[in-house]
Amino acid sequence: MNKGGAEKIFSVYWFAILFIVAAAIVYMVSSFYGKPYDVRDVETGLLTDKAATCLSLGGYITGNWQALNNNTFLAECGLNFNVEDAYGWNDNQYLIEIEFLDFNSGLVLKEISVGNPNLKLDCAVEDRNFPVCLEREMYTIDKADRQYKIKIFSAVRKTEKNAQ
Amino acid sequence: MHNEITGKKAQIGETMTWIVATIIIVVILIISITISNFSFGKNRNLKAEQDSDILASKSMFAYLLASDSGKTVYSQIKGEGNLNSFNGNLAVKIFNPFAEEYAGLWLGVADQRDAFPAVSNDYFLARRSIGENPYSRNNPDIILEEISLDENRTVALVLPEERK
Repeated sequence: MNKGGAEKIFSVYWFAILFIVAAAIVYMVSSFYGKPYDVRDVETGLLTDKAATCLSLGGYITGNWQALNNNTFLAECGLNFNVEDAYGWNDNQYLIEIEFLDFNSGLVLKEISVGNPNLKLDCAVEDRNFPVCLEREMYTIDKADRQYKIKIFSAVRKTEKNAQ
Repeated sequence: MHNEITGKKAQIGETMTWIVATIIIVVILIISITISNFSFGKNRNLKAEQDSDILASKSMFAYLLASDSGKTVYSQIKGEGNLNSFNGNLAVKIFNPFAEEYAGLWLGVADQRDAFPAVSNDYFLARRSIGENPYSRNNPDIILEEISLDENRTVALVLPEERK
């Protein structure tokens, strides 16, 4: 009688342990794989590279750089700042700013800014819930041997998808 | 009477064994969950492996096309076999921002027949303090941009793979 009761209790106990272990494994897997990869470092790098490729070819600055402006830059460089219709993003998750400077004097000759300018304000904060920003520069010349420095600043927000 | 006491002792012993086993299982699960939560899943920043730097590469092309007294930097280096005062100082000015991004930077003339024997110059080995022939051509952890000067020599820009 007692032996049978003990066996019943043990079988319930084993089911409970099995359930606890299974639940813990499910929780561990979901907590590990449930978090997204933060790809914004890669995105800012790609955005900068794409802009650089568009603005300088074979060492020479692109011929139409003086005609580029905030409205034509994306189309001329084959960029698209549209994002998926999620989290109420409203296509405001990117920013790219280009400065064309005289290489010797540092005088700013032209500025282009496309995207959400508010992202730049949050760049000082190094936290995963803020935009990821990257500023780089390169040297280039034109056919008349004038020297330029091009500063490229890019920022990507998309925190909801990358930093949950 | 004696048998009853012995039986109860045995039951208590067995129950204690399972209680301890349960506690051990629960503790192991808690440790696993904690580790999976706070160690593996925390930093999921995706960084792309870099085997080229587009901005450095474009700057190098432009640098070699820049000219002084009608002679391009490329022709000067090819003729003189090393950096001179004009193109050495220009290189330092152009590549200074990259030296701040990367842990080291070297630019100069290299012999492409060997792994990486570089002709030392006053502008990078001394100023950047990264040592004589710091990198090998076969080292996968460097970014190497080379422009051929003749069948043996190249102008080489060497950057470590990782940015700061």
